[in-house]
Order: sequence, then C-alpha cells, then structure tokens
Amino acid sequence: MPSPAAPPAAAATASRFSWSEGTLARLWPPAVTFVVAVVAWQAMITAFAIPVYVLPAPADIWLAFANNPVPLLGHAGITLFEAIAGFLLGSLLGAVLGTVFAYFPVIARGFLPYIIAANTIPVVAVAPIIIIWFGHGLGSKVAVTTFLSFFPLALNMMKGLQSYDRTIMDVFHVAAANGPQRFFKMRLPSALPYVFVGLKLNVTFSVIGAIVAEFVQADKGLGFVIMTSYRTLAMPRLWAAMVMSALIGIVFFALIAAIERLALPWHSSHQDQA
Amino acid sequence: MTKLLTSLIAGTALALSLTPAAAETLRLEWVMQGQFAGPILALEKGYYKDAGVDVELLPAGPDIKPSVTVATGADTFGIGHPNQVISARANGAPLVMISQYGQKSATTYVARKETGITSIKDMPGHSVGLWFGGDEQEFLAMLSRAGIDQSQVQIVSQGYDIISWLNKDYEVMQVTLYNELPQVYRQGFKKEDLVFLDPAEEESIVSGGLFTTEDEITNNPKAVQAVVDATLRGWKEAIADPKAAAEIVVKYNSELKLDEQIDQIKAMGELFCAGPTLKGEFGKSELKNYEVAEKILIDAKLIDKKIDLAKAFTNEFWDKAPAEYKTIDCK
Repeated sequence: MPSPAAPPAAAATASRFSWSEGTLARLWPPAVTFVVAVVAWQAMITAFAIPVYVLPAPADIWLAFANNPVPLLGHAGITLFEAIAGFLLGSLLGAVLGTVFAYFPVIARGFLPYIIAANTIPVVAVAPIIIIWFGHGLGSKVAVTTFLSFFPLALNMMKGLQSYDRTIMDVFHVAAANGPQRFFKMRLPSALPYVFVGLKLNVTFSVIGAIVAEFVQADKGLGFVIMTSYRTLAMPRLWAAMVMSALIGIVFFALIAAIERLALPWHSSHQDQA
Repeated sequence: MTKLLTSLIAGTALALSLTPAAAETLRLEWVMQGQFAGPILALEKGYYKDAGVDVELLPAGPDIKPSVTVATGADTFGIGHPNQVISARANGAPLVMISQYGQKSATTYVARKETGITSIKDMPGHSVGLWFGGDEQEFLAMLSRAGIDQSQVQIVSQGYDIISWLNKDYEVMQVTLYNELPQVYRQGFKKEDLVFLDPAEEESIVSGGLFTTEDEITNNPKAVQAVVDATLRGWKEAIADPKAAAEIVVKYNSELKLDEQIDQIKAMGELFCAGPTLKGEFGKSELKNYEVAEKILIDAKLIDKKIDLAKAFTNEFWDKAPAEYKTIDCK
C-alpha cells in the first residue's frame, strides 16, 4: 500500500508539533465562525426585540440547559443509546447481508430491488409501524434505528467487496491464498473505504431515526423533549434539545471519522493533511 | 439533521398558514373532522361572511399546535384548551381564550371489565396508556388525588391509535370521547364490557375553546366579535342536526366516513352539555376551569409560577353575541 506523501511545507516542522498544528489549523476557523454567529444572533434578538417564543436568544437557550442540566443530559443519554445500539446492530446485520450478496450474486439480484425500495421508505412512515410491532419502550426506537442503518451498510459492503483490484487478486491466486485469506487480507480491506462511507451515513440516519421515532411515541429522549417543549411553547428548552441532538450527531460522526483515519491511513482520501 | 427536520416542520406549518387570501385564519386542533363541525358549517354556510369577517379554516396534525402558530403570528385564531393558554402566557405568549365550547374533559379512560379495575383506586399494579406531551397530566392528577404514587402504576406513552390497547399492551387507555371511544365501540366493545374512569371536575381540563392574541383583541375587535358570533351559530346548527352537519364536514376531508362523523358530532354535543351550557350559556368561559388547569400545570412542574388567570380568558365578546346562539340542544 502506498505510504502517505508528506506535504513539503510540513517537512521542515515534521516533529512532535505537526499533529497539533494540523488540528489547530482545522479547528480555529469553525470556532471563530461559531463565536461570531452566536454574538450576532444575540445582538439581533436584542436589537429587534424578537419574542422568545419565535426565536430564543443564545443566552436563553444556554440558561434552559444550565438551569436544569441533569434531566436534559438524561434524555440525551437515552437518544444516544438508541442511536448507537441501532447503528451497531444495523451495521453489523447489513455487513453480513452485504457479504452474502457479494459472494452469491444470484441472491443479490433476487433481493436488491426490494432492498433498494425499502431503503427509500421515509422514516416518518416506517416508525409508527415499527412501534406498533415492537411496543412502547426503547426496543422500538432501537428497531427503527437498526432498520435505517441496515441498508446503507448492506449496499456499501457488497459494493466494497466487489471493488477489489483484480490485478492484486491475481497475485493472491498465484500465491495460492485460500478463501479466508483472500477475504481478510484483500477483499475486506478493499471494502473498508466503502464500509466507512456507509457507517458515516448510518451515523446521520441513526440519530435522525432515534429522534423521529421519539416524535411518534416516547416518554424519554431528546425527541420527546422537543415535542413536549413545542406543545407548551417552552422554546428555549426546545432549542437546547435541538442543539444537543446536533452535538450528538457531530461527535458521533467525528468518532467514526477518527476511527476511519486510524483504520485506513493508506487510503488516498487521508493523504492531503496539512 | 434534527435542525433540518424542525425547520421543515416549521416551514410546512408556515407554508400551510401563509397561503390564505383570507384576512383571518382559524387553526383547528386536528384534521378537518366532526370535532370542528361548528366552524366548518359556519364557513360553508357563509356565517363568517355574514358576520363581516373573511376566515380561512386550517387543519392541524401531530406536529402543528394552534397555540404555537397563533403565538408566532402565523394564524389569527386557534382551537385549544385552558392549559395551553396558561402555558403560553407563562412562557411569554399573550394568548387569550375568547369562547369555551367544551365544558367537560375531552378525555376519559377505558378498561375491559375483565381487568378487575372498577375505579381509580384500583390502579396500583395495573397499566395505563396516556398521551404524553401535556395530555397525560389529567390522569396523573387523578392518581395524585386518589393518593396513588405514580411508581405503583405502569404508565405507557401511547400513540394516536387504539391498536396497542386492542393488543392488550396496557389495560387502561386514554381516549377522546369523540374519536378513540367511538373507534373502540366500532371494534365490537359494548358499554357493558367496559369500565370508565372519568375525571372529576377538580381534575378535568375542559377542551375545545377558541383563542386569539391580546394584539388581535386590541387591534381588531370587530373581527374577533364576528368570529365568536359566527362560530357559536355554526355549532348551534351542527348540534341541532348532526347528520346534516356531518354531510358538510365530509366534503372538507375525503378520508372521512359519514356515519363516523355523525357519531363524532354527537359526542361533541355531549362535551358541550355541562356547566354553563345547561343554563343557556353555551360558549362561556369560567374562571374555575383555569384554576384547575393552573394547579395541574404547577403540580406537574410544567410551569413554575402562577399567572394572572383573569387575563387568560375574556367573556367580553361572548357577552355581546346574539342570545339565540347560546342555547343548544342538550338531550
């Protein structure tokens, strides 16, 4: 596998500082944007006297969280659990099915149209049905997120396993590699970039799925807080829950991206770091 | 992600409510159905126009709350309940109830006789399905008044259907008198097979009132009076002849079935025929309903301080409405 090319500018300082320099360079623009946006937002609310129930100011949203953080954190934990559990379960099941599809093209051809069709059903339509089948607890929300995480991984795993370099596979044949060796040392590593694309999609789907499932029916979780706050016009709390769900999504995504960088340092998409 | 979802919902709500050419919009509490036969009939027969106002009726759904759309200015009038007006006012939105049609709680709680439950006192060790997000407070208040701790009862957050109760996922189910209860009967249950846990007066939140904002009352009192008068007139006719009213209602929503809507309108009549309505004062708001609602909200920590209840409703427009619209058929 080709090794990452070090950019010439960093070569001189390619020392213990290069990692922190890279991170700092990546982090300060969004941080500054955030601060500027928050200040501008707060100023706009004050200047135009916008009512709190139309658009709360950042200070109101922060207070809605800070005055009573423990219940909100509890709800966030529930939503996070629903998202992660469904993500792991769905991705695993999807990966298994995708592998079956890659090795048995006839099965793939038989099932793919239905898999693709099922993948297009919007979660708002599927969630009520899943809740009727799986009941009213966390189980039904995990079922929704599993359902959503299943298809992207099945499709991406299949595509990934089919996308290996044929020339390199010839080398494996020549070296008399057996089936498992071909799978674990050649096809699976080649599939990983596709798998990570699928995993990153699943992060988004599972967070959205958890929230939407909670909209449909729940008594816990950030989606539940959003619905309850909306109905009682407690808008700062609604926004606080929204911000927390966005943060969950961002952190989860960053985690998968970091795992990807560790697992695939050889991949060309990671070779242009500053 | 969720920001996109919420802005899509808000955008849809705004789009739905910004399309009217009408000067005033009245946001119903749910889809067009018999529950709103009064305003629908009034619109169809031109009573709003006769009274001098141009009104558009807009349906709601699970994600659209009239209290929110009226507070944000997207709609002029809305259908709602005292607890919603009180919550709104506690959160800074100056909503005011201008007429109150329902004088009983819209919800009751049914169980199969075989569960052995005969009254609220039997609830420990049993299960109940409630609509969370505010509507659960009535039953929780009932438990609290009966001295039962919530931890002794299995409380399940239910969806907007009776399927889970039919599947026996829980024993007691919160139902509206005009929607889910008729559905239960249509599944073959008879009154004799069921047990009803009805909220007492001190625990019920009345439903089905008409509200607007303080601004609208100050700037447009003629329109407010017209809407109050015409809606009373529409309801009086709808209750007098539910079948004719249902025939009008089904024209506004092709998903509806005529006989179900007749049942729904009759159920609305039952909701109205209590309190002031029985004294020929249909449509009047009463302070005691607000005191009950506020106490429930405070006990549940949904609001953290009391508000000036006298400002939450007004009978000034109802007082001036024609007297003949204030008497309806109560059997």
